[in-house]
Amino acid sequence: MSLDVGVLSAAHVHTDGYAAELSRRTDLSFVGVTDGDERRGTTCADRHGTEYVADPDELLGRIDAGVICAPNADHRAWIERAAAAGVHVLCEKPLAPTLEEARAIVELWRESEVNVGVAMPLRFSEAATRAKRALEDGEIGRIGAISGTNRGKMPGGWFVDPEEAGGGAVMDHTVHIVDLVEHLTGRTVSEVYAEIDTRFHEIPVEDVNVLSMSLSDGTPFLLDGSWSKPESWHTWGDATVEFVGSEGALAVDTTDQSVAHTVASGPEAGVHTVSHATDTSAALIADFVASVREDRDPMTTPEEGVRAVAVVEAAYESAERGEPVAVEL
Amino acid sequence: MRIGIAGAGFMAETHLAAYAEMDVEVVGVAAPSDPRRFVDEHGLDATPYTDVASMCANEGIDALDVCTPTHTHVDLVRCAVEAEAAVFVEKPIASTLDGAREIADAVDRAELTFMAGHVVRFFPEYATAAELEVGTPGVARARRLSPFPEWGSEDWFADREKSGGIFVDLAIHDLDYLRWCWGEVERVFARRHREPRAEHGFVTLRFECGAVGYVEASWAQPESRAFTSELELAGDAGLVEFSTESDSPYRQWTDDGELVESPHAKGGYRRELEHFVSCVESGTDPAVGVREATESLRLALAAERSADRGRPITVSEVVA
Repeated sequence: MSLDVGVLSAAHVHTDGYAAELSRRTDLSFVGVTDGDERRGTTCADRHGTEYVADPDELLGRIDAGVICAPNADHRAWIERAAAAGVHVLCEKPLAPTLEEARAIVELWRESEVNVGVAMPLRFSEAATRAKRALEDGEIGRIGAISGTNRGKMPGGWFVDPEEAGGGAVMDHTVHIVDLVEHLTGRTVSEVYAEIDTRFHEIPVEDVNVLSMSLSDGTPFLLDGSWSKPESWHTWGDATVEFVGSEGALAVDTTDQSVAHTVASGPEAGVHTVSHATDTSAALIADFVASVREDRDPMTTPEEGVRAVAVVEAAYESAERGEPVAVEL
Repeated sequence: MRIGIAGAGFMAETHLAAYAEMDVEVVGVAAPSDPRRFVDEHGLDATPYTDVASMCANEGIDALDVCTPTHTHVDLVRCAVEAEAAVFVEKPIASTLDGAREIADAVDRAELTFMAGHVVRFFPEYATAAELEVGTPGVARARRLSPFPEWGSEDWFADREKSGGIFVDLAIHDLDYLRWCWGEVERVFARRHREPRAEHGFVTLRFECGAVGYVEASWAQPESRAFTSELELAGDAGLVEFSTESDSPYRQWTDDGELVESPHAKGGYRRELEHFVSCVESGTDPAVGVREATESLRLALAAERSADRGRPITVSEVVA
């Protein structure tokens, strides 16, 4: 079955990774890119050898499936528009900037005929997959404590616009590891205490994001998702999680399969970190494409995506109230 | 300088190794069970005692080094004060703030040199990190991961009444270090997981300067995992980071396994005890006096209380 696919907004920094994968694949047709910002849309289309389509409804009329790389605040509108056109979508994380919008997306998805996936690429990390097997097989016994990190550089652009992003580091760097922990353990985050602030950059959103959580069975889970890495750090950031069990411990570092490449001189001079890990963006796209073909749910559904949004909302509420807050769905 | 050691366990042995390289005499060792064996095993020219008071009374010591379980500290400091000896006490200073106050009153009244063994400040990697510029403090991360301590006499680490638990005994290393780097902490929030012979804790910190931090401390690691400590200090002008997991200047393999060492001409314990000895000799105040050690205990107790009550605790409100 031939599949026509498009990119719905090129605003997100991950757009290039997904678009490259769409143009690389020979089992689908990368029909085009639409974006309210003509220059951004054209640049993306040109780089990946596809067409810029100014009218989103025109593109939606020509494709079977789309990848939403819009700012967080626009996710719901894009999903509504795509569902109305009968287009399956893979949506960047977080599912939405508020729990109310995320819930509305879940409702819409349940009532519609289209598949909706949430971009949680870490679920495809080989180290994480290995950890899932170890935890399911009880290789480290009962889980007693969980410690995660998802630090990064301050991304700038719409990511630091409270209207478009809905928040800062809490919004951007909470959901990956929360989703991964829930996926790996089969348990949910039930309570959050947050220490958040703006300490590193002069931006209108928070860049400090330290969350002390507990799972439904009482397991403590600490996450540092701050934008605390300097611009000159050797790579974009990190994504790690460590489990302490009754019979052992295991640690997953999703970025620790890399080769250091030092460029001697010129504009690229310096040390570059080149990953040799499984390309999780490619795996994410492959799963989404297969889900459309096989008429099944993609790896992460809105029903799962809404959970991480609920944790984000509880984190903001905790920071405001200065006390731990229960995660309500 | 004549030094008496109270205790004949793991810490006493660690201190003894440092003293052996220094210009001091260990003249007595006091421990309730079989101190002679300890003296003989280490080839010491020291008198064994079964009680600290007799050692202090008989040996004319200049300093008492207290390497015993935490709950015994207050009484042993009194012995040193009676003998007008300077006193070094392993961390934590005491189990309770009342105990710390008794120690403060006793050493202040006698005007004796007092130091608490917050050795992390003297470890070369931590001392170096503390001097590096990161700008305005942002987020501090400190981890200390170990198997359950099996070396305590009569298994005192397994008795939380005696050890104080994971925050008071283990996390206090990093709590003290981070206070030293970034100043006092306004509030803490802590969680922990406990089993009969395992404990793992997390404590988040909000410093008075506004920065955020967290300490992760574990006594729940498998024996096969080498002791791990990690530090990150992130500020608006830079980042400092190290991990013992990637710090392996000397490695050795035999059929029995792997050995990783980070040899230093002077390690943290030696630097710490040399500092103490030089303060005793010169009559100056040690870097970690009774007030510093008491504030670090207060912070650790705040973490224990937060974990007990499931809510954030303002550190200055912890008075007992």
